[in-house]
Amino acid sequence: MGWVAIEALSVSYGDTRVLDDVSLRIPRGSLVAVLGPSGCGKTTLLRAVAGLLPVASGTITVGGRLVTGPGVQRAPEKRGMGWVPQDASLFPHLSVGENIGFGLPRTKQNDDLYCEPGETSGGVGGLLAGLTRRGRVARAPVRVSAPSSHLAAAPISPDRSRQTSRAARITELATLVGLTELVDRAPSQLSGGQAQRVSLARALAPRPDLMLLDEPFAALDPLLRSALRTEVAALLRGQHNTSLLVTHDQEEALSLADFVAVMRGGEILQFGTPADVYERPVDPWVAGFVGDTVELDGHWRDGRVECALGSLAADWMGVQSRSERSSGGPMGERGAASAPADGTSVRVLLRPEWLTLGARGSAQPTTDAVVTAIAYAGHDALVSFALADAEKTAVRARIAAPDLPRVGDRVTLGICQNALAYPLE
Amino acid sequence: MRIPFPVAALLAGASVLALAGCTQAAEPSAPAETSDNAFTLYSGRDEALIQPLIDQFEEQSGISVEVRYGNTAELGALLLEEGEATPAQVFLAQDAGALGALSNADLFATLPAATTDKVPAGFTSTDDTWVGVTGRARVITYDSEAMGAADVPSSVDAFTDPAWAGKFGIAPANASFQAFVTAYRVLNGEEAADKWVAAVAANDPVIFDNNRAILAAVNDGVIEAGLINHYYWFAQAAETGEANMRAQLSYPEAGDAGSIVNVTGAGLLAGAASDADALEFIDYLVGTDAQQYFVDETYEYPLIGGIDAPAGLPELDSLVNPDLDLADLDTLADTQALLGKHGLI
Amino acid sequence: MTELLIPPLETDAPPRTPGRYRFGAPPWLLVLAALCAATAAIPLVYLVVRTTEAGLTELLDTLMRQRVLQLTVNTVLLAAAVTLSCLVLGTVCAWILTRIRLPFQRTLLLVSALPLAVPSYLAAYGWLVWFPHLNGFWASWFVMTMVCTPYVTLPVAAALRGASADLESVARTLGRGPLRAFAAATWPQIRPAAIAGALLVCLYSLSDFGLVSMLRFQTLTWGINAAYGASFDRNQAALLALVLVVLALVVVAGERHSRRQVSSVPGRSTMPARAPGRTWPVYVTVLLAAPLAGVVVPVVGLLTRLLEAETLRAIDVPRLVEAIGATLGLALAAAVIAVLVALPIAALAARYRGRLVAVIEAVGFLGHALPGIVVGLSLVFFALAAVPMFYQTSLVLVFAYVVLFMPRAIGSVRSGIAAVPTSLGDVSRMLGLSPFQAWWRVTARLALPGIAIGALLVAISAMKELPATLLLRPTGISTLATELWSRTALFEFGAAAPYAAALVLVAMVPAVLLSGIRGTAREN
Repeated sequence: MGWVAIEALSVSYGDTRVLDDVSLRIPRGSLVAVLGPSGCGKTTLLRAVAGLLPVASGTITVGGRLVTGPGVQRAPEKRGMGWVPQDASLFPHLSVGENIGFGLPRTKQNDDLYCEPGETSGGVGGLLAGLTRRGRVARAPVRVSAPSSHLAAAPISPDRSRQTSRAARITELATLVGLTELVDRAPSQLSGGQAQRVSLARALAPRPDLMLLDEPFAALDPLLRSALRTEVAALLRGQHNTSLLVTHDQEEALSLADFVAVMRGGEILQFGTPADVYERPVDPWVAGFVGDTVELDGHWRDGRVECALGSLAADWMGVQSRSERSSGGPMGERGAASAPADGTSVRVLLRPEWLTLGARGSAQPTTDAVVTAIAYAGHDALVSFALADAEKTAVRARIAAPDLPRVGDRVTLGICQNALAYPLE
Repeated sequence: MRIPFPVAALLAGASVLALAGCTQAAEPSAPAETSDNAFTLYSGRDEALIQPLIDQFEEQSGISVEVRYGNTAELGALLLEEGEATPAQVFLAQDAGALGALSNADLFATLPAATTDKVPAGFTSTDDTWVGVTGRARVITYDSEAMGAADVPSSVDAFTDPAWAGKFGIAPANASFQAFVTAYRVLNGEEAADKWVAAVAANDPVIFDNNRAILAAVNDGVIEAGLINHYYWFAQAAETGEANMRAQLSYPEAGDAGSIVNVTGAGLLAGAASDADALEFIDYLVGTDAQQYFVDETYEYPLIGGIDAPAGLPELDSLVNPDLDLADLDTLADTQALLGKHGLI
Repeated sequence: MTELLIPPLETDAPPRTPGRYRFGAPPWLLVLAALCAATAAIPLVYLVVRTTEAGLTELLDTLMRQRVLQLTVNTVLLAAAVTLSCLVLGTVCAWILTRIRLPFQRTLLLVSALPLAVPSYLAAYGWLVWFPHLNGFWASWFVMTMVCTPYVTLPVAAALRGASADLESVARTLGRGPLRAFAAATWPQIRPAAIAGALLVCLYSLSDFGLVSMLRFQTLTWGINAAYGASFDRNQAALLALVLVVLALVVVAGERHSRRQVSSVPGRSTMPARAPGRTWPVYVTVLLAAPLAGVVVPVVGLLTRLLEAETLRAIDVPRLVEAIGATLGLALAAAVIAVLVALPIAALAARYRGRLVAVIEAVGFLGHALPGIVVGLSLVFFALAAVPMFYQTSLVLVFAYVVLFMPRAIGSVRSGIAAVPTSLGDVSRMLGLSPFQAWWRVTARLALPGIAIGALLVAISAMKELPATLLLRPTGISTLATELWSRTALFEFGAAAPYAAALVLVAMVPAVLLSGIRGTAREN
């Protein structure tokens, strides 16, 4: 557990602390998304991991190798990490192919590093070698150690072989990102999506131990964005890459990542699987940031909350100590904090899609409501209701399109999950 | 194009070294006890007119002269800056002011009396730190299309007349003008000099940077008259033809402060006190050959006896010679204070 | 679709301006840049030494003189007027060159760079041939404006080519007229280039002596030369030069301040050039004003003097060739070394901020505000004290050129580097390049147009330089400028003409190259 371990990392710009005691563990081969609003420090975290900026304190290890620590600040080029920036940042003076090959050494000695059994033969073998290869433990030279088969497969001069291996790797990556036809193009001739693919291929080419992606899809238009990010996630998984992705887009984080770290104000508030973060957010802010919420006031009574929707079965999401929630590892079943005394005022939180029309399938008491507004979104709609209580409390539910009521309809609302109860701030 | 960084750095470095290598390093200016058949000359006199004389000297003496040309003021400043470290052995100047400044800074060696005695007092230094080489008469140049020779003032005092307002040019920052003002002070007294400078300054003089520019302005009809040295007229006449000269020269009447002689001269740098080659050159400059050369080629007054002034010029004796070192720094400072007081410099 | 209710968050803007690092500069770069800037500070040290030699009373005495005040006022007036008129004319020319579809566009651009090749003293002389009465403020202002305009035209034209037209279109749709739309939308984008050019013009007009002495307008450089020439008063000259330094510092600080306020404008579309219609003669006239007044008039003037000359001497071809060779060699060496010395300062100024960075850059600009004679003498002083074995070698002369003209390189190299996104450097580091490799293979490579412009500007200036060359050249070596000087000093216009022609022609080579570089004068 913890191929990449970030421990108690702090970064300051002058007097401002941008990262405060951040810890994060990234399991090998997984894709971790750091999710947070603008200015929360997530890009700073990424740059600190990359070694592009100095840290105030803390350690970063990759595969057991200390890259940042007391007295240690490995240069970015010696960390063995891949970097995909937001704007692709292709070298405008180099062709697409040259961009992909930029990180591949040219000198013979170094080039042997990348000259692996089967790779020089190119084609399917090379592709397979690339696809099955896991992140390298260290950037130690990988000797051409399968002499007989390799030599038999590639009886070419060393010089030629060097050229071939480099060219083959470029072709391989271009194929991987589906841009084989474009290797001779100039970056200025590419579309935004193509440029981002090249940027990805360029970062992958030297086989990094850790891929760092800084909002790589943010600059693309929405349609292209969702298509490309699915593709990229599949590609990274296919390469068994360990990746750290920074994003402010909760849908992107939830849909792509194996684990999501939610950041705010330089701290990691929650780290867990997407489902964990979405369904059991540690506090109302995280809940609101990763998705829509229905929030109500209520009182705790014996494992239930009493609120405008009635007396609902609820889970107590009481305060965990800071050390507990930022210990770094993904939290599975979080130890339930002891429930509060009966009668304690709590904040009740539901997801709009937990509310259903009609009593069917409801695990909770039902309540009557009037439809006040409908925000139609094709496949579903967000429907606003006024409850029948004295305050005409407003709630919203996500209703699948075929079942949509009309404004003014009287309906019965059911609830299909346990509500979440948070202490009042 | 791909040049590895180290290679490029190497190239740049190599080009610097090559540059350093292909230029001759300055020779250390160790005082030569004896002749080494070479010396370095800083010449404030123009190359075209002095180089033939130097060639002639080299041929006769077998001594090779390395010459650095520049204008007198700049070379003077350069020598002051170099101080004892100067590579030069001899300084040949267009005006006595520069020589005086260097003498005052103790940068000149004392010349042997045998050399300085050839030039009469008043045309050379008072302490033998430099020797006068040629004389240049202070003249009034006038626009011959604006006035006849008879209408040209015979005294510099005329330029205080409002009739001349805005029509005459002076170069108050120029050493030759300042020598003339010094002479005015000596000849007419401080009070009169103060009055003259004040009146001229108030009479809207056209201020120039140098004599050459004044002559050009008169020749182009920009101003009607100006105070310069005669030498410049002959230099320009040689270029454009005497017949084409619109500017003409008029010599102030004998005894007027405007008719003084400015001297050019040469000095031996302190470090070269015993340099026989350098001394030989200075001797040569005040010898018959060189003096005749100046008369023939540059229309300057010779300063030694037995050689006639250029044809058409008034006799040297008829010009004012206040019998004092016009380059003397103390008097120069007073003159500059006077000019400064009236806002001319 | 959770996007529906949560308003889409703004793109996570990184906490730094693009193109600029938020962290302080690395110490090694600071030290390197400070060392390079120190070369430009040599004259300053010299001036302070000389000034302190004079007593305090003497200093105050000199400073309080009416004349010093007059010279300072004259200097400031001239520099301000020339800078302003160059800014306006240069910007208009650049606008015509990029926004109007004129025939022979390429040639027109080239022609508008040509005044750079004419030394200011030559231009002034040429004008005096035609109009001997020219003198004073307005004459100096006019001729200097004509000679200096390309310093603004070229970078602004480059910036205009890269400027986004989106904003101007938006401004038009919001009801602004063409001129106001240009002022509101496009001017902010080209302002850094225009101001950088104006800075060069301003420093040049502060330090020029040749032109004002010909046209008889008494500025501080006139006073400095008079102090050296007649009084041999180095202390007073140094004091006047220090006044120039103070003026220069104010100007440089002002430039830095106004440059800082500009932010980058995204946008891709550039303004299409439009056909001039019947008004084309107006455009062409404006474009050709500077080349005509700065090149044609003076050169033809010189030629007439040549024809009038009585003494048409045979051209000493070997000597001419030798002078051309020396001029080219020295200018080339000066260009290469000036760019190398300017690089760390430019890299620092392009990427980092802070008081120390500002000071280092400002010091780098000092040399440009000083007349050649002051820089020359200060290097005499410095070379004899520090490296006597190199005194009166080309090395010290080239070094003087570097001190004098490095600011021209700093400005354009800085613009070039600033236009390269820092993310490219980050990416190359992440791909295994060391900082130097990343710098060399990416940043320097992409900033090459800016670097080349800097080198060419230095080369042009070095070719025309006279006073420092006279003082520092190895004995016996002549450049075209010194040969020209030694002949005009004697009214030998016939003999001078080939050297004048050669100088203008040789200096035209870099000027032409300069007009061909599509500069990256955009800054973030």
